[in-house]
Amino acid sequence: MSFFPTVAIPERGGRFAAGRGASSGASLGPRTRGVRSAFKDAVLYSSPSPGTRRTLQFHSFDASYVENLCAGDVATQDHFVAYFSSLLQIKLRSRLRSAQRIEDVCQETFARVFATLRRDGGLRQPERLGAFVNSTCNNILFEEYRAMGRNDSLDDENSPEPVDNKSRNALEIAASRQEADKVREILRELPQRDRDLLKAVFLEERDRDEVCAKFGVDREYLRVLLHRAKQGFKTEYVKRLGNPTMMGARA
Amino acid sequence: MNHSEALKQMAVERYLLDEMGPDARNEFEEHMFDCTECALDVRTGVVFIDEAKKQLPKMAVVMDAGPELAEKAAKARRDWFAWLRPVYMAPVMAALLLVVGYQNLVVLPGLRTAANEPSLAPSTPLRGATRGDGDHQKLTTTVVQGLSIPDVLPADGTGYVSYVVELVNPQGKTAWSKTVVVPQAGEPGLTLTIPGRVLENGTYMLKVAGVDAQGARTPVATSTFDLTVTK
Repeated sequence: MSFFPTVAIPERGGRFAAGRGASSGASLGPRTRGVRSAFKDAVLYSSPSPGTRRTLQFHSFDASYVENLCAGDVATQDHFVAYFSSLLQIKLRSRLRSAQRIEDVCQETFARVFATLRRDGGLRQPERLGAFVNSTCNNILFEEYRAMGRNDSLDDENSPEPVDNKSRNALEIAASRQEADKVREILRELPQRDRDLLKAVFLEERDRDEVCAKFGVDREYLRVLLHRAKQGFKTEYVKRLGNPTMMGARA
Repeated sequence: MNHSEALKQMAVERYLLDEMGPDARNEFEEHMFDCTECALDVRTGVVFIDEAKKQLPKMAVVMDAGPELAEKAAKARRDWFAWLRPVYMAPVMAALLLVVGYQNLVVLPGLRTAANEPSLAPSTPLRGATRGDGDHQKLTTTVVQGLSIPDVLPADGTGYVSYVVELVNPQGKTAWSKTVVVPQAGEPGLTLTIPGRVLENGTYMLKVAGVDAQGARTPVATSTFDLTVTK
């Protein structure tokens, strides 16, 4: 599943939509069009603002960040939505199978978060913004569970999957290709046994204990294997996230 | 959960491997949403795993032969008769064929011709050594002619049943030895023919000893000659 980021500003009753150029913490491009106000009856679409080339990947969530968010700063909003969209997607895909349901919960999460932020008093602990987003999402999930009943699935089997009409530009395609090459390189460097182990765990989705027993390893070995592979990939991934021209980069 | 605890527990890897129970998962997610480092780690891991799921099946098709190849290689290493395989035997057999062909078509016919063809060569009678004689008989021959020594046996063989003829080379070693029955009266004498290729420059000695009925040996003739062999 790709984690195409969505952009902050919703219409009344509308959805947080992905603007071209929105990226997960990457920076910014052409001027936002049609934003009337940050949160109230705001126009939907946005593109990253020009002139800002700093990367927001490691932006700390503090009072000034929340203040900018509430003030409608487009760069901050872009970053906020892009950053937490990816985390929400990761969180929700272990709980919900339908991409549509995941998207719905994400949208509702953002709506409630912004609603709380623009209230007087807003967020009491700005540095806990992330935890607040997480707990808001948890509340929504809890409501869903309660509404549907414990034994019912939260997945709407009959709802059509959203059409992925997010086009990617050449840079995104090139970046994806580089990521694929890097992953392939990392996998090739692994011994055959480790490749088979990863395949059994992630592709065949077999029981972890059974897989470890079969390969004669323990859980710790599996974690270390994943850790090393991930760290090897991280350099490439962070490089891409830090690229200010990257638009709509996944995750 | 704080960041150092997350690191110590390898919480990111546990999360990605879905090893956490509901409470631990919620606890980690609460931390992850606040911790940019763990968040980046998780995102990196997710992207890696998603891509690996696409790459691994393609690699499996190619790499699946790996263990078989390894097994084959191991078997080959244990195969003591690997050298019998065509890849090795074919060139060896070809070389053998060449050698055998050359021998049969060139060498052997040449030898047969040489053996069956009449040839002329000088014969060199030897005079026996006399006591005190410091002058050896001097002989010259060529590699092609060799040496032909007629009547090596004494004319009178009375008291003997056989003779032992011995050729001693310049190094003092017996180069050749043969036992022959004493010829009957009237029979022609024996000629010793030595091929030129086995001769070398130096002093040779030809010894003849008579052997009686009891097997006792008695020297009957000794000839010493200095041989010069030319090409």
